[in-house]
Amino acid sequence: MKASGADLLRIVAILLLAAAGCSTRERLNPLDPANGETHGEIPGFTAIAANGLVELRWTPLTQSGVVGYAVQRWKPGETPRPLAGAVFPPRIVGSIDLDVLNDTTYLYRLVARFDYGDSAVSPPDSATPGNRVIEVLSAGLPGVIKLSPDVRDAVATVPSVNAFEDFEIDRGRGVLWLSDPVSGLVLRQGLNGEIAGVALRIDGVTDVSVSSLRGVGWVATPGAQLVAAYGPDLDDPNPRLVVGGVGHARVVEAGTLDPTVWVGSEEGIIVRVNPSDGAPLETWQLGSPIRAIALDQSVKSAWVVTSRGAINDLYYLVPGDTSVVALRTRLDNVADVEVEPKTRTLWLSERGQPRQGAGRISRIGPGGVTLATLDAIEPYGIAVEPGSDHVWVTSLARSRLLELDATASIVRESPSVGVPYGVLVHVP
Amino acid sequence: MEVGRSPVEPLRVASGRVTVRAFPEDARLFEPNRDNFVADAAPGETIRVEFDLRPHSVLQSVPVSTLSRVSWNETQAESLLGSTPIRLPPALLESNSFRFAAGGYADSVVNGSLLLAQTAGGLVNASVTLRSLNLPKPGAPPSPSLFKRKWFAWTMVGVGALLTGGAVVLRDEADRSYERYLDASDPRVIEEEYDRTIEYDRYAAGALGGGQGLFVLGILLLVTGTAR
Repeated sequence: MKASGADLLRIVAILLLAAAGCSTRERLNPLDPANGETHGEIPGFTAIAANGLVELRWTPLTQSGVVGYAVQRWKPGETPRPLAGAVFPPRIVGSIDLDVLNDTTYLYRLVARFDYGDSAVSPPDSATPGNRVIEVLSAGLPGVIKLSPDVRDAVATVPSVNAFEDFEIDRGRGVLWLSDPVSGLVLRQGLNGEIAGVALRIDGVTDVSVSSLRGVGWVATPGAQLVAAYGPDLDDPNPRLVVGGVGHARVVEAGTLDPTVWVGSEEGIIVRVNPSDGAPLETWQLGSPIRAIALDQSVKSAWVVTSRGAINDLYYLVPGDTSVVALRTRLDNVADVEVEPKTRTLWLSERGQPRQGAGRISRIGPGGVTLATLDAIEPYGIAVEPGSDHVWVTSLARSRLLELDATASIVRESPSVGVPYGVLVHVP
Repeated sequence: MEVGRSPVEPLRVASGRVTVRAFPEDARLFEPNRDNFVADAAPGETIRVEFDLRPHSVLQSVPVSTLSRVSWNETQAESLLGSTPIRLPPALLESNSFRFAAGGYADSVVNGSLLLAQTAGGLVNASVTLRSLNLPKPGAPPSPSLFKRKWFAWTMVGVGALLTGGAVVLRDEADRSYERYLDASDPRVIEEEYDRTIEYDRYAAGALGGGQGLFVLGILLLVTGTAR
């Protein structure tokens, strides 16, 4: 079969049309108003809150004609105005605003000035400086992520070889204790990731708890059927006290107001011990493996979560009263409990079926009554905001850290932090 | 020997070849093929010789046409005599009809006697004018297609190669415009350079597509033998 002349011409026409229609170029110039991401605004400008300051960072423009940058600052409801002294040559990539008040929200934006007389601005970014320290355990990293006080930015990431099982804070010295069962290590590091003490070699470590009163850390090792106290000398690798006879100790909680140490075992036994000599003060037999303990320190009592297969029961143990009565039963996969000392209520996170986003976090009052609940999340770690009735909870489904008020309503949330499962909030 | 004016009384001649020649009144009208008769006479044989010395008639037609003798006998057969102008003996004219035929004209059948009368004894030519059918003139025969010409196929290959090369140049120019677009901070320049980039990209794509198309088609024409 031979193609006719008309057929050949038709083919050429199709090729021409096809070729003419194949040309696309992305509008990648950030200053291009038609850029779908920036809409012509300067990208890469962030205002990061810290304690008593706001750090300003930006990515310098690579376009020609930039003669300098300036920063504008204003408060919500006001109009932007130049930040005094914030004029920078093109090569500068950041600055710090020290003229701020903690717990005050500021809005910032970057202004780039060009040699042809015009300028471009960045989208505004807000920052609320404060003295709050937020540390998050991330399984996505894995490691520790430090968030800004207003939880809007990650200010430091400290990656680790393995995901930590648990972490606690020595509030007096600002030192994190992190347990790594896989490596059999307990690490001590500062709030910015700096090494604060020698690594403790403890095979089979699970839980760790720190009494901020003296800076002593308590470590549970189920395999060795003991708990051991380390510190306060962070360079001393040897335990100052070892407590045996507690069964396969899985959970340990050391109080600050109440300096006694609570130990929970796989055998379902709760032992309250004297932190000075390790002598048992009281014992409760709950009959099911202990999963979590939260100290109600002002009354020297404790909330205890036990495990019966896939469901959990909640108990409230009072020294001097050896009776054991479950206040709540059939809880769904409890991940963490934390007492909010201001109202002495318990925050309890039920993860539910993993990866279903069908868990809930509840605020439990005395007697086990539910005061507030937030459903349809997959909560994990809980931390109470010191001096407040707010609580912070990690949401696995949303990969964010949420701040909840006493009614369990979301006050604010962090950007994505990559599978957060533990949180500590510290106000020096 | 001269035997006198016709008709001539019977003559006795020796057996063997006999040549009889007749001379018309006007000696200028002689025609050897018509005026001579040769026969081989056997002993006792009687040979009758008749001459028709009337001049031949010339038949013409407008336009020139083919001439056929029409014999209105049972067979209806015709015999092609030739094309006009043609000289015919009067005897043929007297006893037949003739068909004049030419392309684009209606055939004309004329009685030979009428034609003979028209010649006035051979002094003038008889002429027949055929009626035109006014048929449209046939168009010029189609010239061979460009696609069947080898020079055209080679031209396609050459132009295709040139366009492909031009596409590279245009693409480079588009890239340079795009670099200027990326580097620009002035929205006016940004828009201009981006538009220029797209324009050059389109030119380049068109040149590349067209060039490749022409190149391939040229090769195809050459290889498949469509072009000769």
